[in-house]
Amino acid sequence: MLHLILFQGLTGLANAMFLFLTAAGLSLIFGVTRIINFAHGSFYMLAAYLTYSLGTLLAGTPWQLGVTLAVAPLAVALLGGLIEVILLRRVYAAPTLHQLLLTFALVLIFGDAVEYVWGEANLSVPIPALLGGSVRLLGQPFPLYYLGVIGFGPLMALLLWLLMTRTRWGILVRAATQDREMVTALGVNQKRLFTTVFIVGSWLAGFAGMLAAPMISVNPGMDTTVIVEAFVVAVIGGMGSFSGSLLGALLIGELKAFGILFFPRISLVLVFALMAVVLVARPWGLLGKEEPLTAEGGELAALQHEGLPVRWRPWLAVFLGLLLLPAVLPPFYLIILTELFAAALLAASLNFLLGYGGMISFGHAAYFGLGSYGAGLLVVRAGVGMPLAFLLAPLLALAGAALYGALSVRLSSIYFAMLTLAFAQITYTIAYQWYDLTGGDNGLLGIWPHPTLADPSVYYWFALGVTTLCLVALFCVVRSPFGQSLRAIRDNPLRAQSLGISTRLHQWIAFLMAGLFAGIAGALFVFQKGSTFPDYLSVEKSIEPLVMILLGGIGSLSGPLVGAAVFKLLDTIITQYTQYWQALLGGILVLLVVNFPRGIVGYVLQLWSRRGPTDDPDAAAPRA
Amino acid sequence: MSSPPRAMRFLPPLAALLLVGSLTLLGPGAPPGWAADPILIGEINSYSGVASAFTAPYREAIKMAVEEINARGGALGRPIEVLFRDDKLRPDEGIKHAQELVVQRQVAILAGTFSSAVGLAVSEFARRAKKLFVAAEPLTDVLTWQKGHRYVFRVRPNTYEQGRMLAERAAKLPHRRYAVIGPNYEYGRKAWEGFWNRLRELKPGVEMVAEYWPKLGEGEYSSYITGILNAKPEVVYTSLFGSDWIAFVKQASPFGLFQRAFVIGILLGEPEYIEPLGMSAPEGMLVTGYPWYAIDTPAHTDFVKRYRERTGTPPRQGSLVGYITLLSIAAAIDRAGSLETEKLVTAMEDLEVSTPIGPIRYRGFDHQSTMGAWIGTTKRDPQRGFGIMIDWRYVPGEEVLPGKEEVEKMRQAGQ
Amino acid sequence: MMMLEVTNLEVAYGLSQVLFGISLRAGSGEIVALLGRNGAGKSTTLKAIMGLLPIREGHIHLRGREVTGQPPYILNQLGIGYVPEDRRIFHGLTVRENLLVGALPERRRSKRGRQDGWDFERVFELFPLLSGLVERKAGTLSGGEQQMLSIARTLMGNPDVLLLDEPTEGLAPKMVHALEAQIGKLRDAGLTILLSEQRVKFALRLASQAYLLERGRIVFHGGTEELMANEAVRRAHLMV
Ligand SMILES: Nc1ncnc2c1ncn2[C@@H]1O[C@H](COP(=O)(O)OP(=O)(O)O)[C@@H](O)[C@H]1O
Ligand SMILES: [Mg+2]
Repeated sequence: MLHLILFQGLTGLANAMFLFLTAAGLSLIFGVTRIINFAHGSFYMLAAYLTYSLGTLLAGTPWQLGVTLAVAPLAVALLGGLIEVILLRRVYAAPTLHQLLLTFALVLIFGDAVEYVWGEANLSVPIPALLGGSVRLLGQPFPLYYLGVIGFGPLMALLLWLLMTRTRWGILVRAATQDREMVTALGVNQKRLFTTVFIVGSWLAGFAGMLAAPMISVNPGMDTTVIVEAFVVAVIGGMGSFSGSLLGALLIGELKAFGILFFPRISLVLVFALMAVVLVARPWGLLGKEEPLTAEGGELAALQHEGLPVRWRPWLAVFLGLLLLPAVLPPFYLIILTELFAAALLAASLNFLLGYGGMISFGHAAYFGLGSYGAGLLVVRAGVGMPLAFLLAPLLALAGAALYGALSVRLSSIYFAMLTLAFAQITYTIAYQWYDLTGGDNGLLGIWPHPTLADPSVYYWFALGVTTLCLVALFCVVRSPFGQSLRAIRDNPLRAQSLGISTRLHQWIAFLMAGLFAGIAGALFVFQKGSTFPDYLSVEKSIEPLVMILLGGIGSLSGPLVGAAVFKLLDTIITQYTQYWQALLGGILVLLVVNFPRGIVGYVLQLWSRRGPTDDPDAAAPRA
Repeated sequence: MSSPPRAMRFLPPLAALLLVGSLTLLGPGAPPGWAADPILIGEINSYSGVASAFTAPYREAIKMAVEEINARGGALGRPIEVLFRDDKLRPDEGIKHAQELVVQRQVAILAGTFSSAVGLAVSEFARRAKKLFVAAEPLTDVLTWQKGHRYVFRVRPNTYEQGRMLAERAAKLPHRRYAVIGPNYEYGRKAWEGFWNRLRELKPGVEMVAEYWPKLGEGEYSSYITGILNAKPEVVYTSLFGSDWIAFVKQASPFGLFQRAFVIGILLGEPEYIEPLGMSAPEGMLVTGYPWYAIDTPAHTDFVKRYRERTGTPPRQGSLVGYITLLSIAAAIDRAGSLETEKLVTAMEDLEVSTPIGPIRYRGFDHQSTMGAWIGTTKRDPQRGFGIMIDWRYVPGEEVLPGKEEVEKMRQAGQ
Repeated sequence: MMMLEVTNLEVAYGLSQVLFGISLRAGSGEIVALLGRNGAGKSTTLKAIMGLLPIREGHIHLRGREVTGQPPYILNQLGIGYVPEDRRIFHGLTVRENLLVGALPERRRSKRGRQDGWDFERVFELFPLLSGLVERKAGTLSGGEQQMLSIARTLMGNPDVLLLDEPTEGLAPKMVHALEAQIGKLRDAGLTILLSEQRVKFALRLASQAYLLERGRIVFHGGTEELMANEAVRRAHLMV
């Protein structure tokens, strides 16, 4: 038993050190710049690859270890600084959504870049001779490298602590974490401070990646694995708090080590469950500082536009046109358009939550997935036929939204985004691990529609009808008094509260509706594909509707429709020609966030109104 | 709200028209219509991600086979053309591509897949679409048995067969305490079941002292390793592969796992998985794999030579599977004399194909081929700089495949 | 030459405009009071001068040089110091660290070539209360102590102009009294001070001239005696 506790505890501790280093950088950057840098994991990955390349380049030379130690983290740190200067600097004043999507775009770009440069194969970095082999603990071998890492961790923590408390830079960073505006008013060049913070934060990610490289297999997927864990650690500890990152890392490291032993079946859920519990009980993390409620929805509102004109005649023309398409289009395009309807409905439901409710959900795939699993479970496990299954399936999404929504609508924007992401991850993990019920990775197969709907063109009509009904329903809700209250809350929650509007209840109901419509989209999708998989609940699937909304333009009724259409079109066309679709998508995202924050529809309208005499030029001009 | 300019009212229909127009003009093209055009084969596989070590040489070998076949005049007098699609190890992507290949490109045959989850999903699609699906690499045994159907065939020996080969040898060892670690998905678990069920038949006293199912792509195994070692197993059985296996070896070696337990690894003798480990490959493991360097039949030596000339690298297991998959498809088309699915299926049943490793046959009653696997022990080879298999033996599929009655029983249970 | 000159300043939060053509001037070594009720626009004026809010319209000159649109840190380096209304000290930092954030780094200190600047010693001379609290976490200080720390922190940057936003807000009478003397000393040391206040008497005892703000517009400007003498203005706007 002693042996077990010692060994399990030590491996947990070693992992905690990697986690601490990565999370500390993430947390530092967030604390000062308020940016959640998804690309942090990419820096970690890049450093691991650099370690590999330096290793092969310098193999056998005496200075290999020293050069690697110096160069790999530093190169990554400079890259971090460069990216801050070129890109992130432009979005500090942008809405949280845009910032999140920009750093996510970087993840996509770096992911493909790494595949391009180093290939897709798994690379292996040898353990430096100095730390190779093992030592005997209680008579059994234990890797020396782990002990080295366990020693390195506290050393780095000490150095960081000294940096933060004993240097002017560290004091400025701590001050800026609390009140960055005041720091600039006291004569500190914010730009330079932010750049250096990015450099130091990225250096930490690079150092962790370099340290981890000999223990793991270096491959293009490691960025997402590590960012998710670092994220969880930073959130549990409290974003912006060094000691919080340390505490969070120790908790997660040991929870994983012992969780595997005692609860092997739910070990994956444990981590996210802990994060959800912490966020619900202390939204700002164990050692973080509470933040006041702010009206960040207002930032989003500033990027909004009326969208394409809401006149019934042109839209009726669109509807009729779509209705007639099966007469001229081959079945394959009808399948794609059916997928598009589901995607548009999903994007519209998220836009309702985000654009009108001001709530940035990073886990909307959960409700899409619950809708599709609802259908799948009813058909495959309970033998229910399609019409009934289609009607009941969205209720599972509704139930999920009711629970998750109740716990998350209390939080302000960034923490809301993170909690919804955590809930989506929990749902994903359940679908993935509950093999007997959900089929795990295999998913559920054979979820086919009623025979009368089996023909692609009939199912196309069905999907068109359902989608249109749902969109009209959403439209009515937006225009209703409820929709007006919701927008009032988005623009100024404090004022709305003082007007007697129950903000949480309104937000919760909006969350329910968004979940329900996302569930319908999921059910619509699954009966066309005939199967459902855990991937429908993944982070990537949660990002997709966000990208669509950003493409089309936030908070207008037509924005998500146009966005979904363009996204689907790009996806269908571009994937034919290149395997680097991810990088391309990332590039498009960067372009949108930086240059066209109002999306395509917003841009077209802006062009139009410059010529048109009726519009107020101020309304279309970008904000100062 | 000010009223929008009149012309803007045309925007919605205009946008819709633009969308549909560009979709049809720029989207995936329709199939060529006339007879002299190539026979299209739709090939779906995991070309990006953890499986690429296997699928990259697999694709090379398919291209090689296509060139060779077309140089000999193709099939039915028409050249063969393979359309490759990347499923990214995701079943939903697999289905998406299957839909495009079948509905839009109207391919004659679907082939490929690596992940068992993708294989099962594409198989279900093929069943409903009534399209022949030649599954190359998904190894779960249920694909052709419990979930088997008229339209699916499989090239490689499945988890049941390979598990059985390993069990026959393991039964001869004195060990009784077994631990297992494998990726938590269809293949990972089936690869253990096939082995364990057979071993318990052969040696009733064996006992499982620990089982761990980390997620595919986990990468961090140290806590699993200490957990395994704590259970004091005599044998550790693993179905990890790819980057997971590399990470596991690196992390397990300094814990002395490979000294403290006898390790059995399904597929881990394949060059895909043993070569990246270089000289740190664990020695003395019982594995299935592909000792291409030691198989010296003329047909195989010739295959290795041609492959090397073409790619500059020796073949991997993936190369062999890809090559045989395409040979099988060409043989089926020739035998059917037609591209009609029903005729192709009938032609493929009991089809004999001569391959670089000798003749194999697609059994009529369960559509499983009789291709076998090599079983042996790992050893580091200082000259080559990586691990190889020694004391190996080729076990043909016939030796380990169940008979017709047993398959029928399984199929009934699976329906 | 005027030390600080604001002309025609217009500022908006999003779409709602708050300041409409504010103009004011402050000579060197003088205290200028900015009076007005809650919500009149005093804080907004000071923030705009400090570069913390985008300026729609208007100009700001410092020692005759145009500084409109400069970022806050440049304005600070040019000599404007800002003490915000809710003090905004860094709670998690010690008193010493708070002062260090405000201090000029060595490099810049020597570049500006001013040897007679503010340092720990001089700050503690002005605010003896703080000298005993150097290693205390700023969050644990009393309201009055925090206000002194906030002023001291800004002084560490050696400003020529001090923008003081309601320094007496929420303070005990004893503290207010002490503060009055200290602000007087600052003026005597040559600082130009723009003092935003709701406590009219307090402000007028210190200031030589006053501006009265009402809903974002200046409704009165004159010497302090002039203001006290103007019955109508006092009644309508100051309620004293
Ligand atoms: N951040 C803000 N967003 C929107 N309006 C604001 C903001 N801050 C202040 N205001 C408004 O600007 C006006 C002036 O406020 P302020 O300058 O703080 O007045 P004072 O300092 O004289 O009390 C008030 O009507 C206030 O409601
Ligand atoms: Mg004020």
